[in-house]
Amino acid sequence: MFEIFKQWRLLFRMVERDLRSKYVGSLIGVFWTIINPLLLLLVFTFIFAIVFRARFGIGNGVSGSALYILAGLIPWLGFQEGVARSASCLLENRSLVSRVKFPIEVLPPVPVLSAFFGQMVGFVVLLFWAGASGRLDFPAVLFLPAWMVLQLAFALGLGYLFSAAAVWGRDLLQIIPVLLLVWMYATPIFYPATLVPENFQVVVQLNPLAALVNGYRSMILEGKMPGMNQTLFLFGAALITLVAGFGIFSKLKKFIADRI
Amino acid sequence: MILSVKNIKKNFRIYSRPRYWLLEKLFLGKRPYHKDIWALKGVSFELEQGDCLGLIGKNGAGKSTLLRIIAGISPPSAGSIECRGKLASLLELGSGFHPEFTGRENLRLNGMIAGFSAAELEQKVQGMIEFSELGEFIDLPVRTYSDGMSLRLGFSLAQALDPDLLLIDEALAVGDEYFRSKCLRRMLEFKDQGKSMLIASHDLTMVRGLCNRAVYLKHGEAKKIGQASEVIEYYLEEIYQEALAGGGEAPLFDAWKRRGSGEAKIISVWVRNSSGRDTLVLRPGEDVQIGFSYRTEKELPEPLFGINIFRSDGVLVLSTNQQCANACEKSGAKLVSQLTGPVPAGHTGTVSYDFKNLLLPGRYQLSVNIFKGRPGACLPVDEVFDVLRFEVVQSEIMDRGVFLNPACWRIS
Repeated sequence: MFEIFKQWRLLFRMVERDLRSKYVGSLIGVFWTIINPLLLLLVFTFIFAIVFRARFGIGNGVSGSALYILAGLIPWLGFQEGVARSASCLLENRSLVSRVKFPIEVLPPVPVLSAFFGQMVGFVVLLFWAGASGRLDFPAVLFLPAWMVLQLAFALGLGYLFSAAAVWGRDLLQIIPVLLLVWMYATPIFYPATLVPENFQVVVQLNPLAALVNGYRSMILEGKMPGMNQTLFLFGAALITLVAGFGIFSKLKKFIADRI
Repeated sequence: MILSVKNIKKNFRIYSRPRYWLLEKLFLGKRPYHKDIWALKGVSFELEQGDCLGLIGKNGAGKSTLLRIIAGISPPSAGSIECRGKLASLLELGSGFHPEFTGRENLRLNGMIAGFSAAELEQKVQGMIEFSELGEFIDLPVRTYSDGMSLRLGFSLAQALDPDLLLIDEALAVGDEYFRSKCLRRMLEFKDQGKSMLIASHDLTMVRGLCNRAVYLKHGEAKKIGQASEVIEYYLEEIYQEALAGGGEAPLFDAWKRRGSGEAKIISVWVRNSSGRDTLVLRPGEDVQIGFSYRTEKELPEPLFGINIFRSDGVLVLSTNQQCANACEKSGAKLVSQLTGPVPAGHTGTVSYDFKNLLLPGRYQLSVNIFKGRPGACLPVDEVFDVLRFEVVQSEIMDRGVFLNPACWRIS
C-alpha cells in the first residue's frame, strides 16, 4: 500500500491522462459526464415517476422524483464505471505489467479515481439543483466527503480483487457487467427502499451500495446525517473489502507478470 | 561484486486448456492437469563491478527468462538473486511504455517511477528526448512507433536512468545503423565508467566487442561460463557440429538460396582451420581451407569453381575461381587440378581453396559456385548463396578494416 503513496505523482499523472483521453477527443468534452446521467435520468424518471407513478416520498412532482433518482444514479454510475474498468486494467496494460518492473498497485486506482472525477462533476450540478430547491442543510452536507472516502475505499477494494482475479480467469470480464447490472437493480436507485417487500428487505439491508445511496440521499435531499447503523455498516463493508481486496492483490502480485 | 545469481530455476506450468487450471485447484492438486516446463534448470554466475557479460544461446534457451528474473519482473521458482546497485533494463521492445501515451509522456511516467524529483524530471526527460533524436514523433502515441523508434525511446530512457547494472535483451537488432552505433558508443562509455552490463544477443561480434565474459545457455542450463571469446567459440563450434550431426550438411541449402542449370550439384561446404577441424571461427593470420564437394549429373565440359566471401554488411570481400590463379603470377596463387578435359557424368569430386586468413575480425558469409563457359561469358551450373557464416575473431593485434596487411613499418 505504501508504494502507492510513494508513487502518488505517477498515479496523479495517469488519472489526469485517463481523463484527458476520455474527453479530449470528444467534441463537447467534460459535458458528457453530465449529459450521460441526464439522458439516463430522463429515461428512468419517465419510466418510474411518470409511467409507474412510483411515489418517492420526498415531495411530489417530477422535479422531486428526478432529484431522488439522480442522487442515487450519479454515485452508482461513478462506482460502476470505476469497478468495471479497473477489473480489466491489468490485462489492458500488459506492456507495463509483464515486461518492466512497474508498480502495478498504481493501475487499479486509476479508473476508480477517474470515474470518481466524473461523479464529482455530476455532484456539483446536483448540489446546485438541490440547493436551489431549498433542500440542502449545512452540517449534513459537510459529512459528504467522509461518505465519498467510504465509497472510494469500497470501489478500490473490489477493483483490486477483480483486476487480479481477472488475470487468472478472463471470464470474469464477461461476468462483471452482468453482475453490475443486477446489482444496480437490486440497489434502491429507481425506487425507494421502503417499497421493497418485507421478504426482500434483507437484500437491501445487506447491500453496501444501498447504504451508500441512502446516505447520499439523506445528506443531499433531506439535510440529515446518515444513521449510525448505516454508517457503521458501510464503514465495515468498505474496510473489509479494501483490506481483503488489496491483500489478495498483494499475494498474487508477483505471479501476475508470468500469467498475463 | 554487483550481481550474484545463485542456482536460479524457473518452472512454467502449462495447461492445455485454461479450465484445467481451475479443475486442478478444485482437486487440490491431487490430480495434476499441468505439464511442467523448466525454462531454467539452475543457473549460477556472478558479475563483478565493471564486468560486461554476454548471454548467448539459441532461441528458447532461457536468455529472456533469465533477464526477466534478474530485472525482478518475474519471480524465480527456486534460487536467489542479489543485486547491489541500481538496475535498468531494456527488454522487449515497447516494454514499459503505455501504447496510448506519447513518447514524451511515457518518458515522464518512467522518470517518476525511477524516482526523479520534479525538478530533475524535466531536465532528464529533455536529455532523453535529445538522445533519442525522435524529433516531432516524440509527441505522438507510442502505438504509432516503428520497432526502431521504440528502440530509440527505450534505449534513451535506459541510458538516462544512470544505472549501475544495465540489462539489454536483443533489442538493438532493430535499430538503424546510425542509432546502433550511437548505442554502442554509449555502452562503451558505460563500460569506461566502471558500470556493469548484461547483454543477451545473437550478434556475436557485438558480444565479443563489448563483453569480457559470457555465459552460453542451452536448454536452461549454463553450458559454459568464461571469457567471452572462449565461450563464443565453444558455442559456434557446437552449433556447427550439431548441424553436421543432424544432416551431414550445413543447414542452409534452401532452394531459394540456390540457382543454376543443375548439371552438377554442390553437396557439402566446409571451412577448416589449420588443425584440420571444421570450424566457423577463424583467427587472423591462420591457415584456412574453404572447400566443397560436388557431384555431376551430366557431362560438364569446362567447369569453373568459384568462391565468394561477403562481409556481414554486404561488402564483397573476395570473389575468385580457379582460373584466377593463373591470371596473376605475382600473387603467388597456384592451381593444382586433377581434372583433364570434360568432367563425365556421375563424377564426385572436391574443390579446396587453401589460404592464409587475412580477414580482420567480423562476420562473413560464404557463397560457392560452379559455372560453365569461359570467364566473362559463363552460366551458373550450381550456385549456393550464403551457405555458411563464419566469424573471424580477435587475437591480440588488431588492425581495423577488412584485411590484415602483412606490411612493414619503418620508423626513424
